[in-house]
Amino acid sequence: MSDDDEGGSGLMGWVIFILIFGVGNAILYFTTGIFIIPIPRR
Amino acid sequence: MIDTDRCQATLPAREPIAAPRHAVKPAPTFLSKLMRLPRMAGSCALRLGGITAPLCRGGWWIAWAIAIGILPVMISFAFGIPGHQWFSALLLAALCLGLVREDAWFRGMGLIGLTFAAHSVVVIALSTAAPQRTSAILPHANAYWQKQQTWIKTGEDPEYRLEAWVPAHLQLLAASSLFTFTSLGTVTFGQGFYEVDLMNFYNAQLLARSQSLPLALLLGWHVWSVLRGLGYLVLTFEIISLSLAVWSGKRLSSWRTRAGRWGAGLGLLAADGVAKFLLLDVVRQQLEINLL
Repeated sequence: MSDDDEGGSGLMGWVIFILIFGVGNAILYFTTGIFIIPIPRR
Repeated sequence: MIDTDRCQATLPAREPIAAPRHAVKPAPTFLSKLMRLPRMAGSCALRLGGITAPLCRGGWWIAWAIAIGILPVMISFAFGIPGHQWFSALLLAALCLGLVREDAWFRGMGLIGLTFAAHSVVVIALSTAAPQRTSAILPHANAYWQKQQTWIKTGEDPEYRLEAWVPAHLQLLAASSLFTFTSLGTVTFGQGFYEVDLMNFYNAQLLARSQSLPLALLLGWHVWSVLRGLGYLVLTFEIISLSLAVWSGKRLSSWRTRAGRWGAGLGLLAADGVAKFLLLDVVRQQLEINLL
């Protein structure tokens, strides 16, 4: 399977990867996740 | 009768229509560049899976599962610093990408299950040996144990009422699906370690205050909680696979396989509800009788 055919290679791809999956999810989790994820008892 | 084959053979081959020389490929707009970013991120996620996939070949996934399950929490315990749950989650999600990429669902679920099992054994052992020190690295674990203690002794817990836990569990399913999709499993694993550790600490305290240790462990890790854990194990693997397929634009699994995983995962979550409904009071009574 070729991974590079969508332009995912290179430093810019990894920066975008970290921004979306790292920073983006951290923002999403701390702004909405901690409110919408319930802790069901047991 | 006309011999069509011969007629076609004598016709000159069609020349492809050449694009006009003045036609220039339009420059990508800001919006079109922006639209490519998710695909770039997805391709990198797929590449990361390509890096981690060889690490889980053969029986190596077993060693990785045990290492991810126990090393971060032991380091956290040694230094008295929380955060191991998210560190383990990141490592587990990275390894899962490799197995999702290969659609190796059996090893994938084995990896997730064994990681959580190894983690639970160590956290229960640490919580039994040094409850104060361990509770410092397990957020909200002590408060959870206090609530559980009240429930075992009195049978009273508003959160166990049907009208409370059904909406809470549906909300959890929706939130978990959303965050598994957006984070390729990292948030779900982090939340999973957090919730499992609440149970682990509670079980350790229960063991210290019970007559029969096997009975306390067997009933303390409630059967409905185990079913829920297994349900989310299956669903999380499936949603990571679905997410990676969407982000990267690659077909990673068949719809039949996906349907099977959704069915198994949702079935286990339904079994969680049924088991809780049927066994809640029986389990509580046995836990209460078993207390010292």
